[in-house]
Amino acid sequence: MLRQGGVLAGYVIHTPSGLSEADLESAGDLGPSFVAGMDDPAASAALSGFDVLHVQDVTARFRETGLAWVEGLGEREALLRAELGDAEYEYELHRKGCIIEGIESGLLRRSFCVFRGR
Amino acid sequence: MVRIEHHKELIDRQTVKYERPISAWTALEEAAFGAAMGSNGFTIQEEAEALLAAVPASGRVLDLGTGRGWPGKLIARDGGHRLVGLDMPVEALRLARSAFEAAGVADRAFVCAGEGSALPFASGSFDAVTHADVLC
Repeated sequence: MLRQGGVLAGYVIHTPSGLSEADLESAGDLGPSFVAGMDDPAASAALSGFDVLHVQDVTARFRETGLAWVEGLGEREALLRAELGDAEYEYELHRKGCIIEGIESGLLRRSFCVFRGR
Repeated sequence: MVRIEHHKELIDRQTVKYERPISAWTALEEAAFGAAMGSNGFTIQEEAEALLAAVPASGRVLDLGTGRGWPGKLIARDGGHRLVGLDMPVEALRLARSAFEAAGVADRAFVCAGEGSALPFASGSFDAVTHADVLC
């Protein structure tokens, strides 16, 4: 659907290169629900017929954002439990916590990638 | 490695997320990130702006996994692009359409139900494709 020379740009959550199968499994468990591991977004893009224009590691900001979510969930716990229900609140807190665990244990990274279609 | 297990369960899970009320969630976003983005993810304002800067200055943009319309609404609003927000849960698309209307871009930003592996568009339809944590 992208025209020739068009741009594919976005944020990708992925695993670092060289993880063991066990670590890849853990990364899959800790990452967002649709996530998987893709250890080198640029290499994958090149294989798919894209030229790499820009790749930037934004993992530090990813962690900061995750921590802000968890802090906000804690600060507004009563309001959020009342609005979402206990199960949804617990789910969100758990998922965000898992993602931070994945980042801090070196299993999850996030990159800003800009590719151009050939 | 791409791991997408229990596909229907994941879609159902996403649908629950989009159906729930979000006023307290919105307040959380405003306090934590300085703006209510209508998101549940990790793409903050400055990252959305970086995304906008990366796409051609004009043209048609497909926003994959648009969710509640963030960051697509910023691209359509600040960049003036014609944009299609694509996602699978219909409730997400309703929210995205509302976000586009609220941002004043409903004349050039639209929603479409579909999934990335079977896109309902002709080859060469878009000048740019954007995504935020969906191509993982």
